[in-house]
Amino acid sequence: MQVKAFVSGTLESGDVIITLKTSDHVSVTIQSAVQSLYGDLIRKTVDDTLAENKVRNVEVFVNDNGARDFVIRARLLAALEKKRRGDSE
Amino acid sequence: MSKIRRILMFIPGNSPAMINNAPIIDADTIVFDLEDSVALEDKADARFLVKETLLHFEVPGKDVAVRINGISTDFWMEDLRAIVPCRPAFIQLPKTERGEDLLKVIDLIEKIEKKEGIPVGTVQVCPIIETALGIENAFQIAMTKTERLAALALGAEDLIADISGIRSNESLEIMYARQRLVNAARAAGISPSDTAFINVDDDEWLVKDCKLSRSLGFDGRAIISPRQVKLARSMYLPSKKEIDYAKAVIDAIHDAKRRGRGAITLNGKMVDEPIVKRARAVLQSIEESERMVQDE
Amino acid sequence: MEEYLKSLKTQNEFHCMEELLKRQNLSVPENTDTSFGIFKGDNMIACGSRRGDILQGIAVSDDRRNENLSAKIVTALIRDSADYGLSTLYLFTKPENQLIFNELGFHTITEANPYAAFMEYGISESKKFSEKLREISANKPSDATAIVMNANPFTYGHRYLVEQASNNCSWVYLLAVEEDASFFPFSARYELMLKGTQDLRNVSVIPSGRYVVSKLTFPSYFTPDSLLTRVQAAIDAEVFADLIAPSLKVSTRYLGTEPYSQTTAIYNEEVTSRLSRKGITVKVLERKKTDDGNYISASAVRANIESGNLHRIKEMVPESTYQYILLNNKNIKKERTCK
Repeated sequence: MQVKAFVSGTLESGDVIITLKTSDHVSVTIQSAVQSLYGDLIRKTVDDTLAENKVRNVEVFVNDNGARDFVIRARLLAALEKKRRGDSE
Repeated sequence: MSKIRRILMFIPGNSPAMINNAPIIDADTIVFDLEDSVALEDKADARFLVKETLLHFEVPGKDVAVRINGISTDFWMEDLRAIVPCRPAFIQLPKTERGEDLLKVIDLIEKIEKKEGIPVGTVQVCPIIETALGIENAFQIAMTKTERLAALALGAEDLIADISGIRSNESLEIMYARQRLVNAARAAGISPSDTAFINVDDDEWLVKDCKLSRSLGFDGRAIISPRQVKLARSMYLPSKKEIDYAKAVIDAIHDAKRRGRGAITLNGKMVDEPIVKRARAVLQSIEESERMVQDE
Repeated sequence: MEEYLKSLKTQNEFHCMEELLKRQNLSVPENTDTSFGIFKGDNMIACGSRRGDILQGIAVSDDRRNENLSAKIVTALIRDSADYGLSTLYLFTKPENQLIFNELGFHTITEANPYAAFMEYGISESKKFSEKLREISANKPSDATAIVMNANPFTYGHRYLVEQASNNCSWVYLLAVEEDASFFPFSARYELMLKGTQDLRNVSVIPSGRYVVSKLTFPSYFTPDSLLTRVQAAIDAEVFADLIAPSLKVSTRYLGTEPYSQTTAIYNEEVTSRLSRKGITVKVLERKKTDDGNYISASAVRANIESGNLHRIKEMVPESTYQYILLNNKNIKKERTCK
């Protein structure tokens, strides 16, 4: 099976760019200019969204550029949808 | 009578930075765009972003609308499925050419409203006419499920290409289109909304064009740069004469009620339904403008 | 005038990119898989390319700096690379440009001053690699020794080197260069390294992953020809010192001489100076000679395979290697003629 990766978002200010890869477990890495202030909040948004969608098999790289949490949610949901479609092909 | 909307501020649906600015823009309506300001490869991302924005991002004191992709694209149905449940004030449908196109879209909106338990008719539609055929069909379009229509809008850029016209500041090339659209809208009882002025750095011509637009009968227009908002808004606000007249109409209504009379008269003339509606709309839009000014 | 980003397809578009790179004093990448450019009218104001999992040639016109054009280019490259299954991307850049890429979310794996910094973006394969190495070395002694070996194929010369290390050190890690661009494919080289060292109790053979940076992974366009070997060696050395050695608890590196190769001489020079600076001992060992006084070299072995003189190989390689060659001789030669 070919390894697939899925990306959503951009590197613009206020945005977040997320890379997803199918895996056998969940792992989340956050990269942020405001890591010390918001790292935990970002992680919580990501964890909550993954849990809500019962996702247990992705590695996630979140590159944050000061995004609000609804933006993080949107980008993550978009990436998960791309993965859902990519996997079913 | 549909609500009077003066400034429809367009915000690219895939740009969080611009979306963040929405609350501080002095528009009465924000339109999140999924169509021309979003590249093909970003359509899916934008759809999710606009959806989450509608659900979680507060834009107080303004109506929020979404311009979806046109029915000739692969995107419009998914756009509606994602956006309608979030209850935007209205959906803008670009490149509307026929009443049938509009009907297709309204049908799907209605299906989704029913499925989501939303009162049918909650999400209105504003067709954007951008082609020669659309202009010819303007009245037919405006009469399609009129009660669902938030406004009738003009999109000049594509129209000029469609008629092989040449863009100019004076805008003579779209004079017919503007007039026909205003006429069709008013005849159907809905608000006409003018095209954006794309020379974002030319204040002098912006003012001239807004003045022309207002005098032709448009209630407001699309705006694509926050820079344009203040100037444009002042051009579409009603004049003192209009406001006084509207107040007089309302007084006449109260007067008639008090006297137990069915017919409403003002200065010896009968005042009929469309004029009453218009008067109410004008006063309501003033109230909202004042509220926004206070909030500044 | 409208500005727009597009994927480069036409010769003219690539020419625009070359012009921009030359104006920025950057070399033009070769054999790229994808390139993007931002145009203003007919002028290209920003560009970037990808070859495999390495981003290359990212440039912005001087008069358009500080506008986040590089963010747009890199976004396009990251998104595009996902379509090819890539969730990790690498970048070589001048050390003074690291900050620009930090802001875009890249982190530095290592710096090889004054030549280049080696950076990574995305799901960190380098972190996973070093964790894997830590796991391997967890129950083994510190003060270990490492040897990086291509072993194309594994000869008595290689064996000699390993034996020396094994006799003199608590533990030896043989890092098998994983690139598959040699006469013998990696799977074969790895197998022969395993078999050829089976009897040595304190030797582990490990695939090198992407992190032994050879001439093939290091994009040659990045450096003038004259400096190429030195720069590549510099990066290789720093990656070894920063990423590999600490994870394996390695304090010594063995290098073999290659008297017939100028490239190896430069390589060894660079590795020795950089590793020493980082507190890693470097031992350079002379190669084993055959009875008639020639150095045993893998290239001599390959030459003999090509010419069909298999009997000459017998005294140059361990039995396990010899058997492999006999068994696969037809296949090896077929592959060679096909290339």
